[in-house]
Amino acid sequence: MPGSWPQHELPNLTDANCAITSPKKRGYNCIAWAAGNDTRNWWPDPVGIGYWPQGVPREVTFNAFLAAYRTLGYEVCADASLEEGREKIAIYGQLNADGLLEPTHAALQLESGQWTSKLGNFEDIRHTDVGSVEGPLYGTAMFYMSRKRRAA
Amino acid sequence: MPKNILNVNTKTAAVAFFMGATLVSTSSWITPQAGELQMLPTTKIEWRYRSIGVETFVNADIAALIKFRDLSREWKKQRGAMSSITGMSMLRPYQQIIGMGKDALPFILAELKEEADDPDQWFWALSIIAEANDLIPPQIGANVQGDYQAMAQVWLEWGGQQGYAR
Repeated sequence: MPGSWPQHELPNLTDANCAITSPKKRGYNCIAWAAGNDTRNWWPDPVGIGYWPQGVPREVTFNAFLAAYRTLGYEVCADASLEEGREKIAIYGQLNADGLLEPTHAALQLESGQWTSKLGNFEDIRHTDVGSVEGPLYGTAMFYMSRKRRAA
Repeated sequence: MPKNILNVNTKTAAVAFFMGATLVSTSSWITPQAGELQMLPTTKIEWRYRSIGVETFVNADIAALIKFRDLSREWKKQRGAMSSITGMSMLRPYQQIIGMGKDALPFILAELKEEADDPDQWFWALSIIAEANDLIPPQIGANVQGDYQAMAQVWLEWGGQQGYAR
């Protein structure tokens, strides 16, 4: 795997299910990337470092993340299946040190049915399915949201 | 053996840091031979250079630089591909950098400058250190939040005004 991310954090990624689609960059993160933004880091931190949509609580909860993507027209949907005319995102999460479920990552479905993710400060990748980036770092895909696909 | 105490201030240390000064890297120890220097750690706040007939002790500013560099390296390693700004800021090495207080400011700002158009997430540390030391942090408007390049520019200007960045 030619990516620069720590391989042990994303053990499901292989040459067969992943392709690198950008150089590494710190200017945006996965939450922004799934929202279609590659110029900012999105995160609801309490210090005000990350961008977060106005009016959405700055808290690291699924409610806040779902609300953030609702501002872009997404609504919760059932699964990761490819639906014509719809674009989907997957929001990942896992238990934090306090035993609370916390959002960790987001991925965006491409028209082909494959997915795209920004891996922290590392590269963007195209991956075949949501499970490809599941693992010890991002946990598992917990919620799916969809909206009408917009013209490219 | 004669001793020579180097008075290296923080700014000099930062400059040395970005000139790739080997004196802060344990991997660059020189095998002692006549006329060459050997770097030996003595305590956490003092490093000693020894050459034939001369011992040089480096002051605490260099020690702070060494500490910052080690913590920065460890933070980036622990952070991995994490996306969470909260999570990466809560990691122990990052918190230890915050714990260095104002001593860390020149090093952080020098990092931001060095990183140029791809700055790292030093903003949490800068904000907390500034607030904890009664320094008024710059205003980061909602239109700038998350835009690391713009935020770095704001902080570098602030650092220049405060005398922490060159």
